[in-house]
Amino acid sequence: MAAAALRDQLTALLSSMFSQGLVDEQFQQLQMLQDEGGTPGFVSEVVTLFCDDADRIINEIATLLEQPVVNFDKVDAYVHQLKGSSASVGAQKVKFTCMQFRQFCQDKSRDGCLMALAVVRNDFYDLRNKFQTMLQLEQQIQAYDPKQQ
Amino acid sequence: MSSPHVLVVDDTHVDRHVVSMALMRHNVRVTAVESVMQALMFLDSEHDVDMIVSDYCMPDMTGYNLLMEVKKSPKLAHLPVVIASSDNIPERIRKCLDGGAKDYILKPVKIVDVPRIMKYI
Repeated sequence: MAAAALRDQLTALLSSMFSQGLVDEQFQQLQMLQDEGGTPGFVSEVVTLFCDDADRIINEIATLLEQPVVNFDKVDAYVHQLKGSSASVGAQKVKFTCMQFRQFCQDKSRDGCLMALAVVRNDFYDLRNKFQTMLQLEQQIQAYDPKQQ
Repeated sequence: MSSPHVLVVDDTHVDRHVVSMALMRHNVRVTAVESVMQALMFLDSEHDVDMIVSDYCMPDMTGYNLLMEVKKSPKLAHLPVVIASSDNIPERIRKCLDGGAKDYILKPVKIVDVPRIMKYI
């Protein structure tokens, strides 16, 4: 595929991510930092760090919720962490889900937490798929244009 | 004048990366560490730090604990400290500012926050 077509595909993907509320203006800030700083790999690095972090935190939460006696304060601390990383990368939908999740932690509701975990996991996997597609497109575009390397 | 040196303290990898990048854009040298303990060790061995930007919520010791350690040390008390937190809690903000923090910024840190905090150097 020609570079121009790949670029169109990337632009369409990004605008759909914005219009669906998956990402917000913080994500735009990261793109600006990357473009103005002349550091092409920055967004990809931050997105990768976020995905690794979120994946780890979600697994930790799942383990905690499987315990016979759930330590809701510990669950809440992890959700707070996930909310923070989501906010920093501009993962708006995951951030909002975390805010609801924290309410269930405060209510000490295991069922509520399990439901919120399923939602956050789903939102995160959806976002991660889109981020991965985004990074692949960027790589393909760069392969066409060695000046951007 | 050589570029200023800022110590970034945050337990979240994503945040360390984003804050460092936003600062480096302003020709700042950044050292990023993931705990208050590491920050204190670094401050003990390096003497050219011009400012500290620290997260509030961290396990073991918080950004406020770091602020207190810095302010009670005759060697470090002059250093400007900026606290960053995702929680907009008025009592916490007041506690940090009363404790000698130059500023309390809400996370996520935005590009426009950087020129503001650079003025404290």
